[in-house]
Amino acid sequence: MKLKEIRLRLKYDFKVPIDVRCVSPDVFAGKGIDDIGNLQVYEGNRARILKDLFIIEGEVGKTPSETQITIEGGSPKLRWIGYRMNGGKISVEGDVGHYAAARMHSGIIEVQGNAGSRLGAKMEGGNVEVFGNAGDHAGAYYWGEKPGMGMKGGTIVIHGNAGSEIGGGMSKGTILVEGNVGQLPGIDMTGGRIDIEGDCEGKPGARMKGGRITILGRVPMILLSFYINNIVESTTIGPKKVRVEGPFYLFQGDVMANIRCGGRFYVSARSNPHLKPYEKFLS
Amino acid sequence: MSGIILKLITGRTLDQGKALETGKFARDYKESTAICEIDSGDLRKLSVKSGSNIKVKTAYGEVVVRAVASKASHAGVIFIPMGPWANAVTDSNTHGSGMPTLKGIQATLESTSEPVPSIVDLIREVSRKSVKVRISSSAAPSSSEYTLSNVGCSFCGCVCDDIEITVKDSKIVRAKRACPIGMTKFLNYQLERQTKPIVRKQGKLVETSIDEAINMAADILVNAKYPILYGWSSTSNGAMRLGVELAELVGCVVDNTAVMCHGPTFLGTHQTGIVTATLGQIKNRADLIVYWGCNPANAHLRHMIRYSALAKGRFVPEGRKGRKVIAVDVRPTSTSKMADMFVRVDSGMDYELLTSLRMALKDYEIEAPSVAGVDRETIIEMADMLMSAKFGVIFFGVGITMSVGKNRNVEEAIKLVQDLNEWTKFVIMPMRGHFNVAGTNAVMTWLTGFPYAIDFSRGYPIYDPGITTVTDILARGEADAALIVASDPVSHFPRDLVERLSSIPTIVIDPRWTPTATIADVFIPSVYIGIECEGTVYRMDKVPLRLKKVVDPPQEVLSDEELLTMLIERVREKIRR
Amino acid sequence: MEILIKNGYVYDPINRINGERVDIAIKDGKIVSTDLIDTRRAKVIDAKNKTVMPGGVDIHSHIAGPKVTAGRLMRPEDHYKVFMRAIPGVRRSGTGRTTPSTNLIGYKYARMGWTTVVEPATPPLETRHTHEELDDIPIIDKLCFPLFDSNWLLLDYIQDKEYEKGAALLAYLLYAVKGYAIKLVAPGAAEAWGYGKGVGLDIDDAIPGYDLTPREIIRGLCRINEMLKLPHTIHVHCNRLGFPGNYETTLKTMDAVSDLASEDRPVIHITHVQFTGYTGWSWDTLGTGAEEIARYMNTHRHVSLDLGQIVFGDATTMTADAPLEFVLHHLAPGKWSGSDVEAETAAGIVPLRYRKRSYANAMQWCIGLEVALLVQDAWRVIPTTDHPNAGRFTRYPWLIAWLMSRRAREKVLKRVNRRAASRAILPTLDREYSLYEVAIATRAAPAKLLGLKHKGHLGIGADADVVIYDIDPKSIDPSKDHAEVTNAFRRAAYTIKGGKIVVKNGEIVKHVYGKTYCLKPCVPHDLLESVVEEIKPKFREWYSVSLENYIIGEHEIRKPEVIPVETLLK
Repeated sequence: MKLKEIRLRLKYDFKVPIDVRCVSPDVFAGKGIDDIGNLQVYEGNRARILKDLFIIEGEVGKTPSETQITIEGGSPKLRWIGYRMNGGKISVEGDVGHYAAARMHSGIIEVQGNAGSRLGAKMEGGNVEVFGNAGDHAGAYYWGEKPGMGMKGGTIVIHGNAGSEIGGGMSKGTILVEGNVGQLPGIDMTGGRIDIEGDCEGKPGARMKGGRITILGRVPMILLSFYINNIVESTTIGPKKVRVEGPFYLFQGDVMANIRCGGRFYVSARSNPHLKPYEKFLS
Repeated sequence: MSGIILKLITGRTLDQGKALETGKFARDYKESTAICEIDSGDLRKLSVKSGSNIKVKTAYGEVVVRAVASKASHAGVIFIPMGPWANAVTDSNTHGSGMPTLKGIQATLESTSEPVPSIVDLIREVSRKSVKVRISSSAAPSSSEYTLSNVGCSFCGCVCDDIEITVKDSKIVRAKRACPIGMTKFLNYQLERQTKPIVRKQGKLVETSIDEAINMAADILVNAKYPILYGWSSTSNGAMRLGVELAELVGCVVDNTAVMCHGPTFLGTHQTGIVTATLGQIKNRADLIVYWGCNPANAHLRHMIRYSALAKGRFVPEGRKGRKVIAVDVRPTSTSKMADMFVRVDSGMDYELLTSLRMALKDYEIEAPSVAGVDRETIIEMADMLMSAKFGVIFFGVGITMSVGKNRNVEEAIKLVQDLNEWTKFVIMPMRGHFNVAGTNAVMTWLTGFPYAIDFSRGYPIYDPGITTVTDILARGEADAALIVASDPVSHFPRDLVERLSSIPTIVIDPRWTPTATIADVFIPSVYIGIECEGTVYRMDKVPLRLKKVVDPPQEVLSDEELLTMLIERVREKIRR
Repeated sequence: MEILIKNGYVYDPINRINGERVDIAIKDGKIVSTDLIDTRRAKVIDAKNKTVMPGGVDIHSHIAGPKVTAGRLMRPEDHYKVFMRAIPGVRRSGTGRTTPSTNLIGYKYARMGWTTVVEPATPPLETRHTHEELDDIPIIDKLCFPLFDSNWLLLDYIQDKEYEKGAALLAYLLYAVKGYAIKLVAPGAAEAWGYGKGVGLDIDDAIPGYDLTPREIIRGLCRINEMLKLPHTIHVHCNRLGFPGNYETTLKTMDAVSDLASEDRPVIHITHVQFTGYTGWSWDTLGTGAEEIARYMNTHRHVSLDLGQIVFGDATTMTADAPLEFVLHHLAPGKWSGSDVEAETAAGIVPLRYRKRSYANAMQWCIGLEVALLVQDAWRVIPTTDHPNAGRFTRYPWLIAWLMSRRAREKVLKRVNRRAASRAILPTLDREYSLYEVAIATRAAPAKLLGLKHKGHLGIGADADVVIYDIDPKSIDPSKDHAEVTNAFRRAAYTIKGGKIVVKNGEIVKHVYGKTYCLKPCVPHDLLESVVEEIKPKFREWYSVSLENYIIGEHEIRKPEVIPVETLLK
């Protein structure tokens, strides 16, 4: 199956938020370039069409899985790229803004630059890879939603750093961050996994009911509602389940979310010598 | 320069509160707000003299202020009153919460011989437009003398409605029972006013008619693609309704000052709900009062005597003697001084302390000997006090909402109170700052379904703090025009947001020529709610009050409601064309 | 503007018109005689093969006030998926399913052909807020009922049996907050909640701090209501709401004032009786008390009621019965909001979901309909969903279908919990409401119970609130074609409010604002003055605002309609 590529080039520097949820292989597939150019987008509060904003060249496949959309360049103002995407590939050679890959079903999204907030919010499947940094609330639920309403499947890989509350409310899926993360990763999580190779600013796993978080770097403190369970030699991280050598402290919690402490939290002993005093609770 | 790492917090003080009513361009404001309170021990370690100038540096900027030795001891913590000097060094990154980080910022400081900049200097440092000050005083229209009683005060969220105002020659000469800050507002509201509309034409400020100013404002809003309508907390509900109508008509974002204050309280409420009461219920029944991360002695001056610790109520007729008071804060304050128990919590660790209390209630084991700088025994003692109250209340302020954890701190505090209801009666209440921030949030909630940060660009309300909040929009340079009503973001936003605001066409509607007006393209004067016109406002506990008109406004100055009605009409005409 | 509606089948029970072809003429916002219309200039609507009714009157729906806004605030997720776009010049935007924003409330009622709605529970101290919200609800006319059962000032008078003073005070407070009727919610429970108590407080239990029982409060306020001759009766949410076995309390409540009834009209209105109509002693043994309640209703004429019918799906419970909400918070773990209002009342809000497969929820669904079908007098049984407690008001079209069609009921019964379906009486009930009875229950009766003389009918002088539904009574068999009935009531062909066409083919075509009705009962000057002097020191001690600022001015309300009431006070 040969992938047909359609290329979008920004016509100018965007200032206000641009809603390009139509940029998705399942919207483009089977359409002519003219039809694609006439797809509705929003520039702030102005209804526009795609060709007002982009120069469009190339061809699309008959089906989403035969379609690749490449955005030459990028912009932190581009919102909702790949929204509800179901198959195919989107490749962004620059930055994207908020809500990229939100509610994604399947397919591949690659972002060479940075992503905004709510990357892969409530996504159900597919693979997202950001080579730069991502903002806050990656793979998370929306305000007011209950635990488990976040990411439900798929994988998010962030090569740079990520912000706060990543994986909030997630129930399934995998998030891998090679850089550092901000506060409260995995808040309200009920399942799935979050693996962080860098440091975490604080309060990891707050209110988690299930799932697992792994931190290879430094975390200033463990929440007091977590109890140390074990020291393990090694563990795996990421969608490819790469083995990493420990030792790792295994904490269980959050007792305030569920007395059964179904959440597991692996933190590197070597990167966190200040956590050694916890060892005395193991017996 | 010494290597001590200090944590910077910002907040209100009594002097700063009074001074902002006498005028932000005046000397008192600089004297009271361009300062840094430092623990005496830290001063010695840093070899800095009290009264000398220091340069405070953070990862976000640097500013020169005057060092002041603190009377209380709070090693490791420095305090700069909220305002433009503090905001030169605060973090505009909201970390997905909409609320910049204004407390708990890592800082260093050193002596300097540089002078303390004036407020105009500070604005000029970042503004893309030329900064001009055009203040005058309003003339007294007529001569008479009268007294009005049961006047509501339009300063803070207490909205004390027992003030007796005496007016002589159209000037308020007495505000009986008002606190020092309220009184300062009543007696000085006519300072730093500008009663003529002023527009910026080719870089020059020119007086013009209301009609022309409205026309220019309408042009700005209609031509923009993503404007923001911000402020609102110091105007009436009637004006807020029109603000929402305008935002819907233009298709843009409307947001109020909660984004900088109790926005995280809403985010916490979204997750858990909130169990609260009106202030009279506290007065009548509460025998345990916790002030957590708030300082009413400085910011809500009559709160304690009218509603809380010192108030006499039906079931607490002895007042203070019939109550226990606990204060939780990162440093001792005037409020903690009168508490029965002061719990000093490490900055940014309120979440952990709240969790430890919840765990103590449920008898879960707390393994560490101390949490957030509070030892386990104290935590258990405090939990006991909470559980054995007949009716307890936690009043919380920006100490929780602004420091690390933000909305999750509030959520944890609400959960603590919900847990306590298993044992006894307990409620929680946010200490809202402005006199009508609660009202304008309520108006937005019933009109749109959401309390603030509402984006109408798609023709219906969309809400996502961290993305639709004005702070985040400005930080990412996404707004291309702004309308500021009854608010002064140039003084209270972190500096880089001020820079963004100054780089877009800005309309300001305010009774005063504020620091925000210095970067406006269109300035339209308006009248004071609760002094020069009537208006409905909600107290911090959301009790609705109708503020009175006490004096006539200056001639030809209209109310926010009248101006917004005109603006809506004009925008509608232009859109139709 | 003049309108002439021709050829429609009119259902106007107050004027005894049962489906006859009558022309309806409208001029200057009122129904007028047809010969006053200039047919050349009037807008003529041909309602051939359609049903014409007065606009619907909802006697109990939580649409405005502090607890409604608190409900919105704690449920942003209720607002993400359901929204309406603004159409400039035609309609505003809004969001929300169980806690809709104000514009949506007005539009969605109007689209179904409802034109008058009551907000049934507002805390007096915060009623200024309620009025601000009501003012922002377009199209419909509005009323609100302030809560008085736990009011410290009134309780003193009731305790001391000083009914005349109590009546004078209540008249003063009612006009002060621009309310319309006396509301009681689990009388005394809000006061008990101030102590953290009150869960399951029964009608003859002692209320902490007072020498009073809920029964005495109900009787006291009923007497006061009769002395003031208020157009509506006391409106009562019974004690022990939600507790299995509580039907007994409901019967006791109804009976508690039977001796205070003098004429052949109700003296008490029991609201959302479904929630207080349970036999059994636990959620597993929950049974229907509908038969007992219906039996009482059929043998006593001093009681009216509304259903509080469950609709499966999402709901948001919000009531002044704060102790109950505390219990619900435990039954349905999740979010919980509450607010105590000083010296007056309380509130609690808990989101809930009614599930078909739940035994208790299925039973609840049956009980509401059983009451509606077993009580014979359609003038005293009003279908409501206690929006948003039992269900959203936008489900009225389905509720009407359930009343009119046994088949519609069976369709639901097939999919509910089996045990409930077998224990309920509902499957055995054949009765089907006629269109005339629907017109009684949703228009004529509530208007009459509220004492709104110009609502609920299409006689000369009535307000021109008229609805045309796409139902041809000659060709439709509601029992079989219940889905058509539902569709017709979902989207009115025309809704006319105050003589203006606001809905056409189920879409909003005009954004206007209705009136807010409130009462000014006449109290002799000396009596009023002495009572106010007496309460002033208490007010100062107990409240946190001044009495002067407690009072709401008429000018604060967009379109107030103040109705003077001749009382029995001398």
